[in-house]
Amino acid sequence: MNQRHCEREPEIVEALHTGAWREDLRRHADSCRACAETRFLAQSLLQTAARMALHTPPDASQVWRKAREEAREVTLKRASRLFNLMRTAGLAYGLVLAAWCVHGFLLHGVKQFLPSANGVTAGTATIGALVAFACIVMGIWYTVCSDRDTLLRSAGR
Amino acid sequence: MEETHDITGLALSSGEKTTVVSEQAFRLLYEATSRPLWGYAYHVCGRADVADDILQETFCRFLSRKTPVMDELQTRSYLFRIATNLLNDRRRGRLDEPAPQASEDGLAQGLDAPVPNTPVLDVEAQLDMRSAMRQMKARERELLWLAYVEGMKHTEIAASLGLSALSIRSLLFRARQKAAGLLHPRKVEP
Repeated sequence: MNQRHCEREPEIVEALHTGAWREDLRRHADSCRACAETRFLAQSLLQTAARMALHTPPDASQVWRKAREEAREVTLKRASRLFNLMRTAGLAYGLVLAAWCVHGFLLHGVKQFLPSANGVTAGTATIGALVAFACIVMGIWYTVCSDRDTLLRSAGR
Repeated sequence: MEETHDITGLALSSGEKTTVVSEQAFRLLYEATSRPLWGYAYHVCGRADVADDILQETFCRFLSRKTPVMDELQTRSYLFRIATNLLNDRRRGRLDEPAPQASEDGLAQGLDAPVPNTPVLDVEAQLDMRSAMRQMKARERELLWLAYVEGMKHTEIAASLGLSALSIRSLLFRARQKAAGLLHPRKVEP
């Protein structure tokens, strides 16, 4: 028999939990070092656990309320993440626009820059509209996919 | 949404991949698992107030996460896994204040405090156990508790601790041998 492990160790633990000791298992536990060790240690730990079981854990309602509050906070955080993203995107858009204007003014001067801007209005407007559309689609997709389950949970409560 | 019933009788409303626990199902789950989880947390961290916090945070995380549909054993392992992670985080000082007078592996001196509401019985045995556990690593205490008090199989212990199932056997052997040697070496002789 291996001194390190014994195949009957799980039986020993089960017998300690159920209290149903078969005679052959009892004899085995007396003669097998691994099982004797297991029995002794498991008994000690189970006694400790029995004492701990007298402790009353926090009330389920209290934990449920706390969990709901945390879930609400998570939802708010997710929602604000979308707004933060949009704010950052808006800021980046503004900076690019400002840089483009400055570059245009410096390169062509005010009189030449504005007519040239008007000249490509159609193309610029189309690109701008496409970018705006992509942003809106991404925002909606993010909201629907990311928060769908959270929203469903909130609605169900 | 379909509704499934696991072997504990908990009614869990499940979507395609995730589980949403109703308040009634939560109460049943809490009744069934809160004491074992509290005992586990107390055994590992050694403080009743911290064990209370760990217990509450475990269920809060369980409810706030999009958990996959699980049976009773998987749910139990999952809850112990969350509690283990919280205990590890606490030990590393990420979430809570540092353990007071922590020993080399972070075990608080709180193990010296009496178990709350405990009758004054087997005081010597209780002190022996505390003394032995104080000298063991947190991982060893976790292993022993899950194996012998919770009666988990190696695969369940592995799932609860985030370890390989193959490593559990040797880790458990070492922990058992160390604990038995620290408690009463004479008594383990066949």
